[in-house]
Amino acid sequence: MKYSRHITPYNEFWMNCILNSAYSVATGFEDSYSAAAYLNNYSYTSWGAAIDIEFMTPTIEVLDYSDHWENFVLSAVIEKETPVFFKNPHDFLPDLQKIISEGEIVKLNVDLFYWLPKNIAWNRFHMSHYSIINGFDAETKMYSVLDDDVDGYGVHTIPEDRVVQAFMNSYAMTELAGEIPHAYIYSIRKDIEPFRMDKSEIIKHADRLIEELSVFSFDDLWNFKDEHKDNMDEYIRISLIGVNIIENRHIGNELLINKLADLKLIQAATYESMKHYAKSLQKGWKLIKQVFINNLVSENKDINVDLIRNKANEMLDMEKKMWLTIVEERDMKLENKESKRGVTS
Amino acid sequence: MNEELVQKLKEVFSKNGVSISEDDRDMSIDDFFGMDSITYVQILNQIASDFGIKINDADLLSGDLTTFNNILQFINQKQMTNEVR
Repeated sequence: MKYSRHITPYNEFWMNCILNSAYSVATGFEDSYSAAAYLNNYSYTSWGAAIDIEFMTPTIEVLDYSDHWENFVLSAVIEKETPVFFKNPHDFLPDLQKIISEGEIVKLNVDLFYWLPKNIAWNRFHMSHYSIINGFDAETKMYSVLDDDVDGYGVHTIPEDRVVQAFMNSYAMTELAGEIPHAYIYSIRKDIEPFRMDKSEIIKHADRLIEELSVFSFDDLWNFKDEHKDNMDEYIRISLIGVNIIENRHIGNELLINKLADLKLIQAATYESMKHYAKSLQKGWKLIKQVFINNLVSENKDINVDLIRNKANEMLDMEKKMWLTIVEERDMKLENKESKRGVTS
Repeated sequence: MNEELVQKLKEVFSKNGVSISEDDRDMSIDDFFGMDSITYVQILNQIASDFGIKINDADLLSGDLTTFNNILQFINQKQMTNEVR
């Protein structure tokens, strides 16, 4: 196998295909950026399902990376993603192999329907995304790929004919032909500063999250309807994508809290309290996930959505309390400073 | 606790590749090697089928079915409720 570069999949927790790919690339150049993934620079949001845009499911979206890359923490490592349009897209393999041979890290637009057998979309529905291809073997006609499936984000070796089929059916070659690039090349900065955790940034996001969590609600989400009955498994699978991202974010939050404690940026009591909340949030979201899985494997698809929504709203309240803990520590310090000033003046 | 019930429940876990010793009975199921959410739910479904009980969304969301002994207690309660009915 000829590699552009060996890449270790970023697997501490799952964010989404774009971010886990970007963190895999970035940490290969400067490993301190693994902790940047723990940052609480995220928001709760909802999205319409690929199979039915009216079916809304909750998820978590990390800020800036999709619309203001220059403000995103990984822009200190990955300057930009350079779009690639192959000269002859119907015979793209020579161009793809040349890019890899030149040591560039490339991600190719592929239709997940044809991509990885254990991916949720395999042989079920058509959905395109960009997948890192970091190696190929011209003799055996095999390609090294980094992507996610039910086992998480990992390395896969797949045959050339599948690369061709997945690319030829991708959005870049079908409905969005000419509008979106066939591939992107990651442009890596020459001088990379190590990542340093900034507590004030964590608190700024904690303040924002407290406000956002106060108004976010799951009440109109997971809007299963009677007409979904025949296709219920697909709707449950789509719901699981977002729930999995939320559950994983709370694994990330625990890693953040551990990091803040390691760096002695929070007090022991704050650490214990936040850690307790993060563990409970992981457990609560895991239970929600298991309810969806249970409905997936059971004959009876009589999913109790109100019960799930109540549990999810309970989790939002708990998360708000977690972020309040670190905000209150800051407020207490400010109060102490003020009172000391009062004594000395 | 009915020993027959204990053995039957151990067999369900065993069929799913999880061997339960006496020390494991109060251990969190999450900590068992190879236990992911799919395997956990599959075990619960097998239990529901083998013991003739129903595990609904509320039972799962309660978060009580997290150890072997808790599941044993749950089966007992469900079976007693069924008998009363």
